[in-house]
Amino acid sequence: MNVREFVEAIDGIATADPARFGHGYADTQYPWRQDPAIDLPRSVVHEWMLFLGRRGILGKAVVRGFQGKGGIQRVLGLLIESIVTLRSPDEGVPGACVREGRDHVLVFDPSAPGAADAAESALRGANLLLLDGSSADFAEEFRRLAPCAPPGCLVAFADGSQAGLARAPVDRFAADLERFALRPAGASLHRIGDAHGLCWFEQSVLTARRVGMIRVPCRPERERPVFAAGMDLQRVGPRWVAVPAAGAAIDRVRLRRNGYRLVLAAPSEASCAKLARDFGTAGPLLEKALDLLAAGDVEHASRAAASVAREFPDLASGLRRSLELAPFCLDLLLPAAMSSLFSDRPREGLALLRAALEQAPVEKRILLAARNACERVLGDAEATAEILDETRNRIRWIERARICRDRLRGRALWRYPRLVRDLRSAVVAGGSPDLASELRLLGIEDVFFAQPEPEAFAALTALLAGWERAKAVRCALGSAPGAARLRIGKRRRHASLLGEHPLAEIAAEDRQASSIEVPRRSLDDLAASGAIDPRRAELLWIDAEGSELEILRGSRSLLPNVDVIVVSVLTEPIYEGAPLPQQIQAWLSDLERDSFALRAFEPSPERGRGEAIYLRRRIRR
Amino acid sequence: MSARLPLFLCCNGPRSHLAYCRPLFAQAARSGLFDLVIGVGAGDEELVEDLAGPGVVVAASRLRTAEHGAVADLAHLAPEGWPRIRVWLGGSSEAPTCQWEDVRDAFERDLARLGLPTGFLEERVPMLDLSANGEPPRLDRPGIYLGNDRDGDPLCHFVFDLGRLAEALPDFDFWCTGGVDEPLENLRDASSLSWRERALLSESCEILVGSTMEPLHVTLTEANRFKPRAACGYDPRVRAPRWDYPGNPLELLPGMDDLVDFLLANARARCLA
Repeated sequence: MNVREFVEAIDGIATADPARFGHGYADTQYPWRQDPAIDLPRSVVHEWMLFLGRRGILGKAVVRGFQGKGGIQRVLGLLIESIVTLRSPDEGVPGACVREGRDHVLVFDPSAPGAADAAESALRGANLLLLDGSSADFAEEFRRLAPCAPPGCLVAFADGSQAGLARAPVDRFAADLERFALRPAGASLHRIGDAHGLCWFEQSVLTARRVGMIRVPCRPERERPVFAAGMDLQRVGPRWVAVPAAGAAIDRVRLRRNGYRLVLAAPSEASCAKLARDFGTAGPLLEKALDLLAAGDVEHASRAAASVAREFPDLASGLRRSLELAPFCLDLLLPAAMSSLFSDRPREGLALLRAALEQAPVEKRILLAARNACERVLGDAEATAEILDETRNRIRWIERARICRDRLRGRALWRYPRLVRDLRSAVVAGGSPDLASELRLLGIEDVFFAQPEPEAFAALTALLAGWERAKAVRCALGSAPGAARLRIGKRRRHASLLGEHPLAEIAAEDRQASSIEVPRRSLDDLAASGAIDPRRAELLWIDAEGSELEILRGSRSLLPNVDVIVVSVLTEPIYEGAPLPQQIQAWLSDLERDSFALRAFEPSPERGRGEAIYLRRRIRR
Repeated sequence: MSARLPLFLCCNGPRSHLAYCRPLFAQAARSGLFDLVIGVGAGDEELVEDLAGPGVVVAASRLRTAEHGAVADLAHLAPEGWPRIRVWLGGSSEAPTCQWEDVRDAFERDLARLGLPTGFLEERVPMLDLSANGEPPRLDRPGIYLGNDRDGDPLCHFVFDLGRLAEALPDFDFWCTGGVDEPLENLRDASSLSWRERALLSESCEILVGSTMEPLHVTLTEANRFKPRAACGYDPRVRAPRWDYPGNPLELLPGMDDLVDFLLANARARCLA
């Protein structure tokens, strides 16, 4: 497996089964719905796994924590022969991460008698111990497990404390661990990632003696919630917070991740309890007001909201205060919207409805309520049009992201659906004919293709049949018009205007065997002749076997309208005179008004090649 | 009747982004071209209230700004029928660049789209000047502004060793905006100060240090333009400073050792000056 395939395999695990295992990584979540399959940032996971891969296949890993969904275990399973998952007594078995005969799940309670023996037994022969720093029991787990890791074992823990994803100051612990335990033992603590990262060190006989001595500077608060009006109330920082009753302490990390269906906040226990009681009665009435508004019955909706405002005069301000702590809580946004809409600040109510729509664009009830609020409460036709536009855009974005995830593979750009979400037009230089189908699948309807190779052009023309706004010309591209010789191998896959580099390692069937004369144009020249509309080049895709920089040089008139550039780059000598990736990058970043910054680079499955994605730096005028 | 054109401005980003908008608001107000209403979240008035005056009104929402930004689009505060600009802090990525050139670019584009006059924004990078019209406090001893609170910048990781800093520079007081966890004499707790008060305090300090680039940016005042400044926890090989300007002394320091070296070198230089 090469690097790209390995990374794709990891991404595949992260996106395999969203319903069961969550989706994506810690840093690829919507703020209102956080359910990562792997609770670490994507770059950290990739860097960590590549690091483990370079150390060779590891025999045994012991894992504790990470939400219990098994994502980490499935990823580690790409390299590691046997994984032991230590679960808490009250935790479920991590979903489908147990490989028959190779992986095991053991119950482990760090505070129970016999925990030390259990730790030692679990860690016998382990090459990796991986702990979840966001766990409430991290301190105790580390103290029990880390000293038992055998010499040579990597001891690692996730640290999201500076990203607000830890229940104890793990960053402080890590600093103390290095200073007081590792350095005196001649070891170092390494870190992968920034605010949310992974720390690791290599265990030795000396470190094993010292690591158990380090304490997490202050233990996480273990307050017991107070029960009132069907809610659990607890002090969290300077506020009192109420969430639906579950009999468990309120979890700050879960609060931060919008993990509670409802969150109410107030400055004191008494006011929080009152808010919870009031909301218990008034909430259903405001819900009813929303239904009435969605149905177009503004008069009764208004009456319902007004009666709530009379009976519970402090409720509206309480809801607004709660929104500061839980700005994405839908069960808070909607009642707050109803309270405001039928008060002296109706536009505030509409703004709250729009905020709710942002996370639920396909929920008909909210969309109808927002539309009726614009039309019948505010009498604002412009706002109605804006809302409908916004909703259409969001639905398109969701659809494109789904298509990228489920149906498109193999190209770097499809791994970044945000970059394609607003694209409506493209200019494609070279590349394979399949790209045409992929662009069309994404709804990018306005496309211009330039393809010099006759067979590829014939295949492209067939694909474009019936596609009204797509056009193809058979020519090579460069910085200026002229004639050129196109060199072709037996497989006709990599037709190039450049000759092979003497040091190129090329398969026999791809070696240049013949050449044909082709007309050469520039994109500027094609725009000037009317073949290309320069305003319809939001995506510029160049895959031209070494001519990429020349094509860019001849595309200046298009660049003011380009948002995204995808360029195939050669990372090894393949063609004589082909530009280095750094040369392409320097040229694009040196453009004055229309400079582009490198957004992503991904190696191709084929050796010596890759795809670079550039994003316009400055906003398009 | 005013010859000025009505214009509503707001920033839907987090509180720190509103601070970056200050120079834009100030220059739009000074241009004399507009009757301005500036919309802000509840409690954020302190960041722009000094701009209020003839032709400039600050309108506050009843909703406080959350960590990610405005809970609901602040454009709801716009007077009926007024053109509205939701200020974008530059660039074409999901996250704004927070560079003045890009901010100007984006704002002028928005003005042009609304058919409003452009070309009045200065080219020279302005400071945020949260300290405007205020008096910096007098300090008993030389001070170092230590912004050890942080915002949610995912690109920064740093742990201050306050004890080590206090020991390394015993002749300086460290004014710690994120509070103090060690009872050392030269560690002073500045956590209760507002952003405006912090900006004023920074003008009395000799050296400015922070963790994340925001809220360290409250120290971007004219008096502090060329004062030694450092943001800790960034890799300078891959991160660029925000709100960059010619002669910007900001250094990005990856570790505690680099920070101690920076402070010692600048402390000596300040003493010799």
